[in-house]
Formats: sequence, C-alpha cells, structure tokens
Amino acid sequence: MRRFAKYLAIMLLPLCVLLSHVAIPFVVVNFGQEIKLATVPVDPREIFRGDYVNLSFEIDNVSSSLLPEELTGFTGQEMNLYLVLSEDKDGISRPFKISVERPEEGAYVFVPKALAYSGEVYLDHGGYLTRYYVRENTGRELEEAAQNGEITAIAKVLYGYIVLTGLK
Amino acid sequence: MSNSEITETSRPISKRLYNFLSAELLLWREKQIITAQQFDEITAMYEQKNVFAGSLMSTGMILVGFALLSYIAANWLNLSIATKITLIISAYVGSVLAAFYFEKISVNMSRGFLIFSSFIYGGGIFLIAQIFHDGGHYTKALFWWMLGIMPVFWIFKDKAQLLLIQLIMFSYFHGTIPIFYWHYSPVEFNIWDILSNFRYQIAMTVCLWVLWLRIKDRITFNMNVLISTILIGALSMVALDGNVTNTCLNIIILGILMSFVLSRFNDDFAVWGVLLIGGCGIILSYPNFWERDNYLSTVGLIEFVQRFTDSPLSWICIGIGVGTSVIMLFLTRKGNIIADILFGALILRYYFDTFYDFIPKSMFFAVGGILLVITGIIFEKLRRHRRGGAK
Repeated sequence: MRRFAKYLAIMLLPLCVLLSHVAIPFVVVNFGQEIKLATVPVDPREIFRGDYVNLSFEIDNVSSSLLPEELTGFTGQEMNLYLVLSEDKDGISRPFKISVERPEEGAYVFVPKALAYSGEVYLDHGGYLTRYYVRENTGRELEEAAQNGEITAIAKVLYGYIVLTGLK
Repeated sequence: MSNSEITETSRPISKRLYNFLSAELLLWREKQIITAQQFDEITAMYEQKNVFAGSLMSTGMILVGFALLSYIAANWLNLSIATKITLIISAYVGSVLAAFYFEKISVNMSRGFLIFSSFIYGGGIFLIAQIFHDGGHYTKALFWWMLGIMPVFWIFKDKAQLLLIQLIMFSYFHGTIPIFYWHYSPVEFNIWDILSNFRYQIAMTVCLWVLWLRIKDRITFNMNVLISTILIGALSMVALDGNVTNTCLNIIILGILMSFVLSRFNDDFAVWGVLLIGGCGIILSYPNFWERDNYLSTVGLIEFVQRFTDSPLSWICIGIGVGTSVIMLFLTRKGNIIADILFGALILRYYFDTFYDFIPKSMFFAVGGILLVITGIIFEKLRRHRRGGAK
C-alpha cells in the first residue's frame, strides 16, 4: 500500500496542472454563450509559424471613448477591466463599453490588462485570442484571409472567460 | 543459505552476465571459497534471459504502440474535446501505473515508464493549449512541466528525471531571459528589481540544487553549475544593459570564487573555475570586447594607465592576457588539464593575431605547429613531474 501511495503522490501535481489547464476552458466551451467576433488585418510582417493562424481582433484595440466615467482621460496601464459586447445586425459582437465592475448580464470579456494611450485602449485578453490551431497545410489560406480581416471567429464566453471554437 | 530462501522465481540476467557469474562461481568453488552446495544454490538463483523472445515481444509492443499513436494522430482533429482530454489523462495515468506494476519485475522498465509519463505530462500541457487555442507563451508550459516532474524525482531519486528538468531549464532560460534583443535599462541599478523580474528563474535554479542534494551525482552537479553560471551571466548582462566587459569581469570573479573557495567542497568547481577564468580572460584579451564604461574605468585604472601610454586599452588587454596565462600555468602545475588547454588556446590566440598577416602562410602554419608540439612536450614533462616521473 505504501508503494502505491508513492505513485499516487507523484501523479497529484501533474494531474492538478493538467486538469487546471482544462477546467475553465472546458466549462466555457460547453456552457458558454456563443458569439462572433470580427478580425482585423494582421501585421503582414508576422511570420507564419507552424500549423496555426495568428489572429487580431476588433476587440483588441478599442476607442478610449468606451472607457467608464471614472477612467475618462486616463492614460497608462489599468488592470482587471471588463469589455461589454453588443451584437450588431449581422450577429457580430462589437465592443460596447468598458466597465470596472463585472456586468450583471450579457456577453462580456474579462481584460486582465489594458493600456490606454492617445485616443485608444489596447486590451490584453491573456492569451486565448492570439492564435487558432488548424489542420496541417490549411493555415496559409486562412492566414491570408486573416491578414485581410476576412475571417469571423466563433467563440464562447462565460463569466468573462473567452475561448475560440471556430473560424469562418 | 537454506533451500527455502531460493524457492522464489529465478532472476533473469543477460547471457554475458550469466556466463561471467558461472565462470567466477566455478573458480570460487575450485579455490574452496564456496562449497558445492553454495555453488548450486547461487547458480539456481539466476537464469539466462531469453533475449530472442524478449526482442520479439518488445518489437511487437513497439509496433502496436506506433499503430495506436498513428491512429490517434491521424484522427486527432476529429475527436471531441472530452475524448482528447481523456486520452491525455489516461495515457499519463496508465504509464505511471505501468511503472508501479513493473517496479517489482524490472526496476529499469519501471523507471523507463516513469520517464515516459514525464514526457506524456509535458506533451499533455502543450496539447491542451492547442485544443483550446491558448496563445500564451510556451515558457509557462515549460515551467509547469518542470514543476510537475520534481515530485517524481524527489520520491524516486531517478537521475534521468533530474536531467530532464535540467534540459527543460535551458529552453526555459532561452525563452525568458532575452539578453540578446532586450535591454533592461533601470534608471538606477536596483538589485531587488532584477531579483523580482527573474524570481521564477532564480527560484527554479535554487530548486535544482535542493533536488540535487537528494542524489549528489556528478553529471547532474555539473549541469547545475552550468545552469547557475548561465543564469548569473545572463542576469549580469541584463542588469548591466548588455555590457560584455563587465559581465566577463563578473564571471572571472565567479571563476576565482569557484577555483579557490568552492573547490574545497567539490573538486569539479575547480574545473569550472578554470573554464570561466580562462574563457573570459581570452575574450577580454581582445580590445573589441571592451566597452567604454567598465569596472576598470570606474575605479580609474584606465585613466592611470593613460598617463604612461597613448593606448591604455591595448596594454590592459595584454595585462589581462598575461594574467590569465599566469593563472592557467599555476593551475597547470597543480594538474589541471583544462588549464593546459586554455593556456594553449591563449598562445594560439596571440600567435594568430600577431603573425597571420605578416608571414607567409606556409611558415605561419609550420611555426604554429612547432609551437604546439613544444607546448605539448612541456605539458607532458610537467605532468610526468607531478606524477613523480612515472610513465
């Protein structure tokens, strides 16, 4: 029994790490609200690495007019904000406003870090909105489309967490 | 040894070992070191491994394994998220359980499965990131990978696990300490700032030393010294805004510390000290690697030398070269082979720089070759003198 306990002990941390990486995105993908996001042209100087597509979204850079009253005119770094989204007539979720409090309802994305500078706010969503892994040998076509902003991304959001689930 | 103690299953060993054991036991029996009964009892404890059958089984298992992996890889994108995650977790748990099962049968196979499980765990972190399109920096995955393997090493004291962590650490440093394309320029030098920005790297390096204390093995010790030296050098470059001169001087100080202080605790520190002093000494013997602002200019040494010559830097470089040669010669006399090599490298360095452009190439190589032969003869004589004249 003691021998088996050693093997159980060594599995504990790795399983916690693996399951913690899975838990939130798995729940978001299965129980979250589906939204569509518009992409914007990616800097063509970025090199295509491996079988994924680099993505840039409309919600990565928003106008500073969306900042809440208490942050009006603010420039610099701000942490832990929420970007509230609203759907347009084409069903695309667009940036609506930025909030310092977690919204009660609707689709919103948690922003761990935001950088406000002359008229714009750069929103760092924490890694889940930078790339999309694709089948081998299909990335180039998709990347060209992404570079031209022709891609619409499908994502799931839940309690501010966002996970990409598809590209159109 | 009573009969009851040898009724358990015979231990399988290779044919080479079995033949060696049989021959030695026969000799011991002839010399009456053991009795005939003891000879029989010991021989009965061992049996030759059936290598052919074992090879067939291993090959078969490998082919089945490849087929399974190939099937999964081909259909990976079509699998549901839940299936993928189940496969990853099952593969990891399965390999650990296989290690548990084989521990009583073959320790090597058990350890093999544990290493396999460590790779599955690391691969699993990256696969999960891919499944959920996580674009986070790969070094986070490396960090969790190293952390997850540490308990395995701590409990089983398996050198292979520690080596794996150390190898991952190189990649982790490469991704998190970008000294060649990122300059850290504090308004005022602040050591707490440096320690705070690189706390994970420092903490992991300390962990490696704590882990090493469990086995005190030579190979992993040298890997730890290499990792620590790279960290100190890299942080030095970052803190000094890429100043190569001061970084080399820092490393020379580290080398002196290793050679003359830390070597009392472990002989291998002496080798590392020589490498660091000699290597950085050779670098600093070149004026190209001297930056305008350096420790020597700060203490006014360059200004002082300038009173006597128009090119103080050239003389300082010569001084560094001579100083390094003296230290290498001193260490050569103490029997340090690395010092021999570095001393030879210094001689070559000056020979190349001084004569390459000025004498015909054939003479250059001939004289160079003769110099190396003479140096080799001198070192051989020194070595024989150290060994008391013995060949």
